[in-house]
Amino acid sequence: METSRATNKALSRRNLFQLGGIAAGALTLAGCSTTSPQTTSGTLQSSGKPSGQISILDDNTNMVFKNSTIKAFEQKTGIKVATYQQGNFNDLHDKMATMFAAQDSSFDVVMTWAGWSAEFGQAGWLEELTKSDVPTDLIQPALDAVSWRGKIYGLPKFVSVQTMFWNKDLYTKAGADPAAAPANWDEFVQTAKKLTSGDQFGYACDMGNPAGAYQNFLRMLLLSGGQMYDADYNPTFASDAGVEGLTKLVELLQVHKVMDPSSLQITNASDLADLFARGKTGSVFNWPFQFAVATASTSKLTKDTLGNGLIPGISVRSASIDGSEGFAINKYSKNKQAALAWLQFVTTGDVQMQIVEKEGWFPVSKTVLNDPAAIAALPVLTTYKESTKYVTKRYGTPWDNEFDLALSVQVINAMNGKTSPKDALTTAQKTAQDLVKKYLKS
Amino acid sequence: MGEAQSPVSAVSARSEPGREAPGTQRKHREISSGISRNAKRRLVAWVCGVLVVLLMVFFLAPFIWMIAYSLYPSAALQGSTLDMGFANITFDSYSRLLSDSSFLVPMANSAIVGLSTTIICMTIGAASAYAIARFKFRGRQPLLLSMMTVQAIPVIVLAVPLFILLRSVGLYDQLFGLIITYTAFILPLVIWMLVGFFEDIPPSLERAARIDGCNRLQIMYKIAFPLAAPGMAATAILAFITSWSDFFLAKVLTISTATTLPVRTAAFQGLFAMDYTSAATAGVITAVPVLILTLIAQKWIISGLTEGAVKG
Repeated sequence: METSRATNKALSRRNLFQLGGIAAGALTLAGCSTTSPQTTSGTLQSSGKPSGQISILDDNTNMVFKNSTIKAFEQKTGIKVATYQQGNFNDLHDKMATMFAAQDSSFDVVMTWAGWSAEFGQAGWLEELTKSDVPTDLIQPALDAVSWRGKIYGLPKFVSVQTMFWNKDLYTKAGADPAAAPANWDEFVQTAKKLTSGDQFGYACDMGNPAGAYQNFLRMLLLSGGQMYDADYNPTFASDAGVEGLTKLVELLQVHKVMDPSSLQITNASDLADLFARGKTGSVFNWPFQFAVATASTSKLTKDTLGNGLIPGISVRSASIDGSEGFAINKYSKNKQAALAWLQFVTTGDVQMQIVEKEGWFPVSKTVLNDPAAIAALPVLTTYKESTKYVTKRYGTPWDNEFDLALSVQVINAMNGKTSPKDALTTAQKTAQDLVKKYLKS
Repeated sequence: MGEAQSPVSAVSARSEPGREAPGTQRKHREISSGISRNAKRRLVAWVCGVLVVLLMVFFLAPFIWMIAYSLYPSAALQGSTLDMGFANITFDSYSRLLSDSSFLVPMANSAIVGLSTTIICMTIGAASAYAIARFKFRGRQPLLLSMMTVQAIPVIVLAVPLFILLRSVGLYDQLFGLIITYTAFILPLVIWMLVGFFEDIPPSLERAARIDGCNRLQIMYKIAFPLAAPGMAATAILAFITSWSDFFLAKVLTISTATTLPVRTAAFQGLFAMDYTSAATAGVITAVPVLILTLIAQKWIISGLTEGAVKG
């Protein structure tokens, strides 16, 4: 055999290969080292005027930044936006987590919302802002979306808060008052009953995915005057208020039969908006863009037949949930001053007015919220302005994904009558307690 | 009715127990059980047929539903009643996506990455597998086992090191970066599978070729590879499908330039909205090359998978 003939030679070759392999492994490990020059981060505290360039990683919710804001920012500050990269919201989390874990400084500014502010903020991957960095006229729920446990990790870019939308035509036909939203939950149920007949339902919602189930439960909890957590993040949602809220939600489907059964399959707010625009649903609680969908040329409704008002409360007058988004500064950014300048620029009146007029989202600044021109451009702002008097929460936490999944199973079981609201919430609360222990060990 | 004989009693009346041929006895048993052997066979075949159809429906239903979503407007499928008339069928989403550069570029990227990975894996993998199958050397078995350990490591654990590695060598968001990453993951599997196929080839054939004057390289290309062709085809398709349809690594190792089709398809789902029609159309477009490849190489795949794929 030629292999045996060359044993001595092969052995030395093998040794050579082994050495080569060890060297390659060492080089690979060296490449994985996190002490590369790329990871050198800058500081936010600097007295100099921000300059240089920044890169921004955003989701694809807004087009206004790409279309006009970047140019205006560059002209005003002299800072160049080298890259403005938009990504799909569902992909961004993993991309960002990978970049942060690798201490990457490719992007100075990253998009955030309540859940990510908590998760990435707690991990130490977002730059903490001081109070002097934060504009004074920001609306509180919007600021909550970029904060976690008293620390501010960014600035909001737009506000998204749910309000009630109703079909005035259906209200009129059913003999209900089309001009005013129901003042409380009992009135809402009575009206929804009148609106329900055949394939027409008084109410619909989107509980088809874990986040949807969480949002729908959270809204009912707040409407009942309850809280998800106490000040120390001990879960408190299985309280009497929580049970009452979930019971009322279950009753809409099982007892009053006013909820469109497809609500348990609808997986996002856009589908809910489309369903409402088809004119067979009496009312929905939805995000601001429902206005644009319901008044589009393809909708059965018009500006005149679309009603908008506060969500009726159960034991409080009203309450709502928040879905605001913002921008944060990458902890490993090399130009944090310029990044902060972008965050602040986005909250200014001109940019916020464009977000209201061109995209239909609520503004983050009180000044724009009180501007008659903004209300003329987006009439539902009147309701939002009123809703700021009442509780609006999201409770973004680092354990959001895991908890949404666990809670949604229990909520859907309760909706289908497989378990009682009390048992469902007790089980979910035990899971939440374990998650809090896991994430907040300190 | 009371006087009429049943078939069983009629047969019993004509025969004498203990004197019948075995075949006749069997017939008696069949008749006494009320069902003939042929009928039993037909019944079993029918039940199997029904089960196969049910199984096919189970596997194909999501794909058929995806095709339906790509052909009908969302409104026709999301209402309280389905409106699936032929008049509603439209190919608008296909023409829209296939003329959209933001979709075509990821599609081309996926094709480049998939084909390149497959070619590299098959070239290196076939030569390596042949060597492992034919040469007996120390550490051969541990080498094979160690290769498979790569498959056992969860990809998510490797995401950050891979990101750092590719970034440090300037291959982040580059097609070549994806190609070498996929090659690293798929090559061990390719070698593992091909070793089984090469070991199946009788060494006597190669010895005969050697006597006829073939050198080792000629034996490989003229004897071993043609004989292992079914297995190699199955392995190549597996390598292509794995790299073509990967989502997670493509998601974390690209940002814009090297975005692949699965990542682009996922982008049809936003925070507040989901474009079902586009997502379903993209899903169909993603599945079609794999389906065509599989259909073309179906015969090879089946023989390949049954001949040696499970051998190590």
